[in-house]
Order: sequence, then structure tokens, then C-alpha cells
Amino acid sequence: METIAIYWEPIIKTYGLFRSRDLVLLSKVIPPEATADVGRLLAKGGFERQPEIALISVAADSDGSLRLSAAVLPDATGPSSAFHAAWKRIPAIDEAIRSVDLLYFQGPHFGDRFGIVHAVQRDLARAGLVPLLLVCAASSVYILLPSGTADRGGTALSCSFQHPPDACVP
Amino acid sequence: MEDERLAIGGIKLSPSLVLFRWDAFDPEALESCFERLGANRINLPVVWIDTSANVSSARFCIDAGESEQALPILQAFGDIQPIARVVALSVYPFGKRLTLLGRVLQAFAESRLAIHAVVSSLASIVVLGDDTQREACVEALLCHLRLPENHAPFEPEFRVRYQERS
Repeated sequence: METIAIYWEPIIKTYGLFRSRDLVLLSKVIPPEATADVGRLLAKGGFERQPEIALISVAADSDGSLRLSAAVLPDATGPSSAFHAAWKRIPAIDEAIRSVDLLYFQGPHFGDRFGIVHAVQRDLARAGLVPLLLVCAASSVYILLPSGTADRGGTALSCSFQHPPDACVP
Repeated sequence: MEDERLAIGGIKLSPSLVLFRWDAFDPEALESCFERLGANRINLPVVWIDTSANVSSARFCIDAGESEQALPILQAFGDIQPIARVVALSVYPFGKRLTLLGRVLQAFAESRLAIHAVVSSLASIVVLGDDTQREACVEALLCHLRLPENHAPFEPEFRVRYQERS
């Protein structure tokens, strides 16, 4: 069965634009043989709900290694953090850390609509911004930008996207 | 005996998708590629683009039913490689649970199932597994995750197709 959804909005509507500044992007390249152990480490770590985590992504490379990335609040990288302790134990071929800002939003049927990710790219490119990490899944769009550029990115996105004013986190 | 599986709300399976990879891309070329896909009304249900590493890398999915239409566009850009037919398994709620990511990685690795990508969204964690192994992917997840009573993994019985008003 197919449902046709017709949108005629001149600017794409969202449910709100949200910003998190001065996050930390942690990345590790995990060797293929370590995947199960890393899974068990995270599964048994008692990480039931971690508000300090903003975004997680994993992508496989051609050699089977996994690039694991996590955007977290700075507190999560402190020595007293359980997350930090677990992260240190994850074996890695390569790793990196950098400061980032996060913009994220969702909108109606975004997962089914063509052109959303291109609108994001176009708006950011016009402002001279290239996302460090851009993740679109379900109806969500997550954009990690270099630290200090969230406002410029948010303004740029207003070219193609309309956010309810009361749902924009400054 | 106590059930040690992690409680979740549900698992939604996508239709068959084709996963593409483009490494060391030029951001302008990637934007141009996505512009042309959008102009041809081709949706990208899952996108992952990383320029934070030394070598930029992108992954994106296209509905298998639209992949033939997309191929001439993608081939014009040279370095875009089809990786596999995949299924996107949305496990919800994510609830910022690192434990859930751990269980997913553990489930797939212990069952020797390929993990092409995992990404979090506001509501769920989305895992890309081999479409030819979709039943095995579900079985593996259910060894580690517990659905509510009388719930089963599901594929939506309808699809939403987006049109612009002419």
C-alpha cells in the first residue's frame, strides 16, 4: 500500500532546531576481531541512560574495521566519568578527539522525502561550512560542525528550513 | 530464570535498500550528486557523511526499487561504490543508552553478521545489516533485546511517497 504525501511548503518545516555547543567528538577505529568484545564492554557497562551522549555512529570500512564516533558533553570525557573509563578500554587502530558544535532537527516524513540532505548541504556550503559529521536516519538530521560555528550554521539552515520559534534552543 | 535481555519498545524493518560508499569525495561533488538525486525524486533514507578523519567518507542508502534510476547519476561521479543490499533495522527507543549500542554490536558480531553502519536518531538506533540475512539479523537482536509482550518486529504495510505540489 502506498500513501502519497504532498507538501507545498516553500520552506521545509521542522519541529524545531536544537543546538549544543562545545561538545567533544570522540572517534575510534576498532579492529574487526574486537567488535564482539566492544559490544560486551558497552552492554555490561551499566550505560542505561546517558544524557551526556548526543550522537553515536558506527560505519564499517572495507577491511571490516568499524569507525565508532560519539559526540558527548565535555563532562563525559572527565576522569570520573564511567563513559570515559569504558571509552579508554575500547581497543583502537586509530583514534581522534576534537571540539564540535551540534545542530539537530527533525521534520514530518523526513525519512521518506527526497531532497532534505541536499538542502542541508546547500545551505551550509553557502555559509562556507562543511559538516564534520552529518547523519540522517529516520526523521532526524544531526550535523556536527567545527566548534564555534553553530550559530552560523543555524542561520544558514534558515534558508531552506523553517523552525517554530519556540522550539529553537539558542 | 531471569531474562537478561535489554527491554526495548520495538524493531522496525525497512524495505530492501542499496548501500553506497564514496571515499575521499570532494564536498562540492557530493552536494552535486545529492542535488541530482533529489531532482530525480530519489530519497536517501539513511545518510552518514564523515569529513572529520584524514580521508572523507560517505555512506548512503537508496531504496532498491529506485536504485536502477539512481545508477546513471551515481556512475557519473566515478568513485561511488555499491556495497550491499541492506536492511535498516530501527531499534527503539534509543534513550541515549550506550548499553543498547553494545547489545547490537554484540548480537551481530557473535552471530557473524555484517554490520555496515549504526547511527542514532532522536528516537532510535538504526542498524544496517545484510538484506539477505534480515531474518538472522532479527534473530540475533532478539537474543539480546526483549520486545514487549505480544509485539513482533514489523515492516510497515504502507509507504509514504513524497510529491511536490505542481
